[in-house]
Amino acid sequence: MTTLNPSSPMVWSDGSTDRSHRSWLVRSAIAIAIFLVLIAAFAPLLAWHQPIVCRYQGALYFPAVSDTANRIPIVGGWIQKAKPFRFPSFDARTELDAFAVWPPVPFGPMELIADANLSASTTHWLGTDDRGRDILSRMIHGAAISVQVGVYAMLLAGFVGVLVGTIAGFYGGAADWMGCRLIEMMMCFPAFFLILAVMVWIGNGVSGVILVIGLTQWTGIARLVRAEFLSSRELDFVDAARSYGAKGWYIALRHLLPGAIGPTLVAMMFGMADAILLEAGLSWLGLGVGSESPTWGGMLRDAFDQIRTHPGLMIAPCAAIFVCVLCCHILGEQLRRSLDPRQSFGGNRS
Amino acid sequence: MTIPTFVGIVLITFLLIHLSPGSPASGTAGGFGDGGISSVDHDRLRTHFELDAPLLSRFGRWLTRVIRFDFGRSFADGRPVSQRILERLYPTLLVTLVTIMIGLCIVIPIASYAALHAGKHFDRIILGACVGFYAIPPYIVGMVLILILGVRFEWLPFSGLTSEGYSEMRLWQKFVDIIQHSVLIGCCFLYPLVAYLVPFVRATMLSVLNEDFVRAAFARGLTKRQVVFRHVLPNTLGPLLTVMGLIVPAVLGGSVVLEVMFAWPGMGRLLYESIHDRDYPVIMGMTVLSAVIVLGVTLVVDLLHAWSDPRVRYA
Amino acid sequence: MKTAIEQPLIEVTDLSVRYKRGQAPVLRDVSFSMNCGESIALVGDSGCGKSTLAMSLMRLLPADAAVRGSIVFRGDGEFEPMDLMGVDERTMQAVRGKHIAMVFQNSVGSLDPVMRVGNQIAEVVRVTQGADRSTAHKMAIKLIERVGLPSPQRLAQAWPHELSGGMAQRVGLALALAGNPSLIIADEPTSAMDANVQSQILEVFRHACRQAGVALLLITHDICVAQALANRVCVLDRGSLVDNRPIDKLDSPSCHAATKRLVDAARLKSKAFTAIAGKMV
Repeated sequence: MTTLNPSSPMVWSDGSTDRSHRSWLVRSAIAIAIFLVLIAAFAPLLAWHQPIVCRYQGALYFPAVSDTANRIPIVGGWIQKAKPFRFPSFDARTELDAFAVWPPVPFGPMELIADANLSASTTHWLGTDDRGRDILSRMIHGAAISVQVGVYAMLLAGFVGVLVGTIAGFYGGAADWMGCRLIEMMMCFPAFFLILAVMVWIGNGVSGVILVIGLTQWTGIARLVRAEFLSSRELDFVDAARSYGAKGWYIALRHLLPGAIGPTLVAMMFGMADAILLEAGLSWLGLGVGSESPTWGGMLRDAFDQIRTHPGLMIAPCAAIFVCVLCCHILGEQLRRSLDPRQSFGGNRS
Repeated sequence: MTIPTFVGIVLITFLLIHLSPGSPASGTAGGFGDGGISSVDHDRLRTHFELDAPLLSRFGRWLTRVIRFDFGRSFADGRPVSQRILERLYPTLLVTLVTIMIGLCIVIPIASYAALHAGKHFDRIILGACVGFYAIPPYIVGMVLILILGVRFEWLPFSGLTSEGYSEMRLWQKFVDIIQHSVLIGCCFLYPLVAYLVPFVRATMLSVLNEDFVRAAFARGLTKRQVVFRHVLPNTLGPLLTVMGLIVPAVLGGSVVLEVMFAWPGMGRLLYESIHDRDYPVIMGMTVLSAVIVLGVTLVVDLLHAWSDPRVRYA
Repeated sequence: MKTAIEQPLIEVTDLSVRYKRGQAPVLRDVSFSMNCGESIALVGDSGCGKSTLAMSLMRLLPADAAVRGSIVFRGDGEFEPMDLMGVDERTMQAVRGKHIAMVFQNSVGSLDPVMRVGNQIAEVVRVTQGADRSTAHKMAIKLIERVGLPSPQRLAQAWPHELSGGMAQRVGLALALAGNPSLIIADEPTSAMDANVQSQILEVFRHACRQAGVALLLITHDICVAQALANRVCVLDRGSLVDNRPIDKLDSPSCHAATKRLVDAARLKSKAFTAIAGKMV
């Protein structure tokens, strides 16, 4: 993919002090990021094949709400959806006749609801794809998958990276040697090759994609943390801490790790963009989350297969991926600037 | 340093095989595709990777296999894996190496100009464009290029390495044909490289320009051109080389989607095809080989870096 | 020292430098002149604008610096006197290195780390004197010899990171001498060195400048260093030139307060040193 070395993210600094322009950019990036996360979290409330609230055979049901709650990791699994809505054969659209509040986009992302390749209309705001699925609904649920993959994969990568980097940087010696070799050998594998080779064995699925991306993309973070540890290990304040009796791991966690957190967060922001691109690439190949699932990469692939007849299908997923990745880059860059004020090249004069 | 890393690569791929269905570690679960892995595949895997042998001897066998570059025979067509990979190696190397060369020729002048005029309009426009382009994945650009230049205007071919009737062409026609076919895919490899390297080289140059020896060189009466060519550029070379080494895996990884998109008969597409055919020996061979290529490139980059910077040489 | 010729080598009049609009000027109406072969020490506390003065003589200030005043440079009579503030960049390039050379404080850092020492000297010889490759190389080796470095042939092949600070500063002097200039500006050439090396380097400077008849503008914060090399002292205090007198007249009561402070500081240091030495005996 375009995962060009997450450890040294885009250098994007100039000597300018034009703050207003930059803050406008950053503010909109933050707004878009929040927007995307909200969409991801509440996707079934925005676009779903079942209503938010409805009355069915005298009782009130909240099928879309319970689907939203279901998506919360770990605890979400405990929530049981109410009975008739749980069955795939149950069609809320025809069965319900009484009161029902539908999501703004009342179509499921996988629902074959209309004719194929409809253009945009008031019912289907972005039209339908080659199999008659609502594009807007797929975009919304695709955002959910992209955000999930980006966030969870980077949390995993951050955890592994900080762990390996801390062990290597703190213990030094043999541990450092082992850690460095481990990082080195992981960096030798082109991410896409390794990920595909693992995906072959473990098969499709969001959790698989997250796991594999997370376990391959941690090297940059580990290198950063290790470098941070090595550079601050020799600093005076560590000796000072040692002199008043602080012990090894206490120093590592209390004094050294905080210094490494900032660069790690920056790397994670840039890594998130890479993870989203990787996932989209995998889905484009049909080897990622699953060919039926609504993903931006998969939608791009559908568009590519019909590039001669319906090139317009490309627009929505292209724009979404671009905006999402750009957003991560801008936020990462801004984070780095705020962490490191020495970024400006004013020229040092004596 | 290279040998332990090499052994590590072998070990990681070995563990990957260990994950495979049919190995004692994973039982019968897993497998890619709709129906999981069939029992036929199961048995073939078992015999091919000798999953029943003791662990250590199995690792030894795998190591010798990697060193001898012998991964057995492909499940799909029965030919040796190494042969299948090697015939796919050259289109990928062709497009990536040429792209990197062209990329350097573009990057260095642009980045130098931007660094020497930091903060001016050209510099800001270039930087903004780089950030923007870097955020567009190559497969999107590839699709747009195919749509506009390939489908709408039919200027350039976008599928495969050669046209039909390639074998009857004269030599220069063959040459032109290959060039024509590589333009679009080459562009898709090229622009993220440029968009990544320009800001990097620019920042490196800016930090070199702030070094004392540059000011000293000016004070000794050298012209701007002399300072840039004799002192600034040679000092930018080291970091640039290092980053080039780090970029290679990304370029190779990016080749999968692009090669599938452009029907380019390279390594990435072979990997894609093997995954669809469940041709596990080829997949494992490709994974090892790609890592070994990157390792080799890293080694070459280290040597070049030592050649270009005496401080590294004696360190 | 050579006797001063009636025409000064360089004459600075009302030089003011300000880095950013609205900020206080770094230099305020500085005027002084230097004769051929003379050596002047420019002394002052850190941050008083010494280095800015040096860089403005070379016209190497950052682009955002605003400069006022005139710097008339006469050279050794080869050309008409010219105002360095008024000439174009191309002329200035010809002046740098060839007529005014500079030695920097950061001796190792002012050498290109990826170029052999001999080649760097030869490069300056070629640029300033138009010599061809082999002549330039021979001259480079001669220059290395002249600044008192052992085995010049081998040293010419050395990389900058292999040199010690003292060796690098000798190379810096060789680089300055390479253009055969009539003025060398030395910006704190010995500040980063220990006392022993410092006195050696100062001796090399004195010897080389006297031999070549080069005028030396020595910038330092240490009046002892000034006393070792210079025959006149200019004192800068917060951007203004407050004192300008021969080196042996520093005791006179007409001295500016800043001069007195610097002299007292130097005395205190040497007194403390003698006291400690006395106790040790």
